[in-house]
Amino acid sequence: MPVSADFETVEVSTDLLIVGGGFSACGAATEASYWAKKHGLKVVLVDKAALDRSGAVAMGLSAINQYVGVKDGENTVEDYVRYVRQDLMGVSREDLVYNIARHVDSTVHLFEKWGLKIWTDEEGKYVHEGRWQLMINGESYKIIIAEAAKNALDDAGGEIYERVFIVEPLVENNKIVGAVGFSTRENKFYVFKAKAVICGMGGAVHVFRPRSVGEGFGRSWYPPFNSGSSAYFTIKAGAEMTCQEVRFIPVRFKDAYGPVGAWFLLFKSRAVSAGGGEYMAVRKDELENWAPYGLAKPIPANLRNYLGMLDEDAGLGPLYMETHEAIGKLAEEYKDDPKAFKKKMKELESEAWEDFLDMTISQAILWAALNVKPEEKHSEIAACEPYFIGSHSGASGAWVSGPEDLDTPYKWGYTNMTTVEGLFAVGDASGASSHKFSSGSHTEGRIAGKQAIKYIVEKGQEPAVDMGKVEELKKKILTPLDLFDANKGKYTDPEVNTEYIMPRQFLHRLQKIMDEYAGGVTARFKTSKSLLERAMELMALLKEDSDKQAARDLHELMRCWENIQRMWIAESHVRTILFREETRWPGYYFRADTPKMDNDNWLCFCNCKWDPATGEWEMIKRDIWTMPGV
Amino acid sequence: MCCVKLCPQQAMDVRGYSDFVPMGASATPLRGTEDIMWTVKFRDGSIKRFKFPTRTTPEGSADPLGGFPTHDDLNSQALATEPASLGLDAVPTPK
Repeated sequence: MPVSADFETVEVSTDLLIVGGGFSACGAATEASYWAKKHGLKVVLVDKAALDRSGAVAMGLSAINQYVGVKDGENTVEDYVRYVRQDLMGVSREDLVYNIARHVDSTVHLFEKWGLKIWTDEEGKYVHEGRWQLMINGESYKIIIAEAAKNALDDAGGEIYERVFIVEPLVENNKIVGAVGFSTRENKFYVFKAKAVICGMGGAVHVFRPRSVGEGFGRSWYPPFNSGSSAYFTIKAGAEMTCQEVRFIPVRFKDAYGPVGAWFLLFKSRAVSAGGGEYMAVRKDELENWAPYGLAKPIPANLRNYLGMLDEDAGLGPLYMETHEAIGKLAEEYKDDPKAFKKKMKELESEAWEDFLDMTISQAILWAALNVKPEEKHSEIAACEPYFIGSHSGASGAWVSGPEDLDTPYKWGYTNMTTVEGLFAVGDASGASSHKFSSGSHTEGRIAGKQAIKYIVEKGQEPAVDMGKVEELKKKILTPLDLFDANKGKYTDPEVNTEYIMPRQFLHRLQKIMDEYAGGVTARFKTSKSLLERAMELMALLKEDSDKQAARDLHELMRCWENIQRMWIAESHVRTILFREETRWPGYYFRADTPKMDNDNWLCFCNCKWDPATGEWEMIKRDIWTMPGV
Repeated sequence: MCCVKLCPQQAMDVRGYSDFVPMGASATPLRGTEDIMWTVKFRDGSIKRFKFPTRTTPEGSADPLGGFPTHDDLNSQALATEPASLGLDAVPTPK
């Protein structure tokens, strides 16, 4: 009897299904529960892990990166739209950015009520790290946000399923009717039937080969459990995707990937290369090649990356954050008062260490292991491997409908609904609305939570789930267990077998293709049409072999499907980089055969869509709408 | 590391990733209901201790609506607690 025969099928029916458990999903659960209760509807949330410590903020954070400050007149919502347009080199869905920005302050005020400690000054005002950033004591940030979501769901009679890994969407006639997945702890196959689904399952890491390939394989900047579940879910549902080429490469403290925001913004530290000095000053003229974006402030993240990369390519590395110099300058005004100086130094030291200990403990351990005391010597920084994170300074995700009260060409349904009816996308799952970060992702979840309930109230129908198709999916999803079981005895070592490939090796194969041909770390983030076409050839064979993955247990079964999710986001990425025949974000990827920005032909969105009926991909150019007067 | 922080018995010890972190350092947490204490041990033997707050409210008490007034209008742009939670009279709209 095959191993899969031992799997019970569990059916769960709900009105609204939220897949994912991070900030955007928690925002959706919190807001949707309020409206669901009023209209007698049920909300179910499904998380791959445990809600308290799941998602990108699992470990904690040391800052809130999106707070507009409208009530105190610090900025306007339009200011934020301008900032995002600039950072993304002109390519952003300004209606979505506007919509999130006008609601985000209320999210932050709620966080504070729930128990998040936001730093305040003597007058009780928030301490800003930068123009949009607030300093927090954020070790328990996710726990607090999850707690509010749980309390909201509990109050509305909702349910949470933890440790259930969602794999495939269920779609009938371009309308979402549910999702299927399996428990990561028990032999249970889950079928969720719903009138609407909010997808908030994060971005993707480990599509590209990471810098550390031994024990530190999982030490990526963005959490390693983000496997592209969102992109896979929306692509397979047949939804149009946008900005799949706009990956993100952060420059962080090297190897442990500790945050640099506090150093750059709060401590005003400089970054230098060992051989070239302060590359942002020395290579200033290069920014003219990327006008108008290169010439405005703040300089886009990808261009800041690029100038550092140019120094590294010229053999002038390593790059360093001048921490000792920054701390010295900040303490300088106290130098004549030894007691005050000592106190200030202690305060700065504590702030510097909390920055790591709140969110990236590995970096604190690395500093301690290298005997780095930031007030005494500088510390190495480097560009990480590429990630897919539409909530940060990348932009990949689903193409979603815009807010009703803005006059745009992007309105076909309810706000944040994808091109598949009833399927909403939030956080890293929704594209072209970058710089949402934690607070904005939660906000986007809240927006979609209300809109999804409105959709159900106005148009909701009983989900017509085809159980025949579900049975086929169950068989396919559990195949790796049966494949392993049937062939494991063929050779002495179960990991070496001609009948199957183990998930870890499959992942290495994907990463090798992406790293070497699609502009990963070892390719110095450079690629070209020929390299990308070769990637597609190799990817086609990889795709064929994806059916041959084998799993010893539930954990490996999850790994097999995470690999397939990564493979699909990889394919959409390669296809879109190929389609866009220019270089627009040189510090994210560089098309060596089209090395310049081409505003005449490519100041547009590059969208893609996979057709579930034919299996064909379509590439689509979409116009950029800019907010009048902004 | 989340498990290390949450274990009430302090039963777990961790070290850095051995493929890039030199040996001999550690960061040990002691997490309570409202703050966390850290002991950072350097490779050279020196030690630093830090204490940071983690939350301002009792565990489990987060009120999803934050005590803000709410409304019933499913069709408006205002989310459940808005505009009160924005600190404004109305949700901003395009000028």
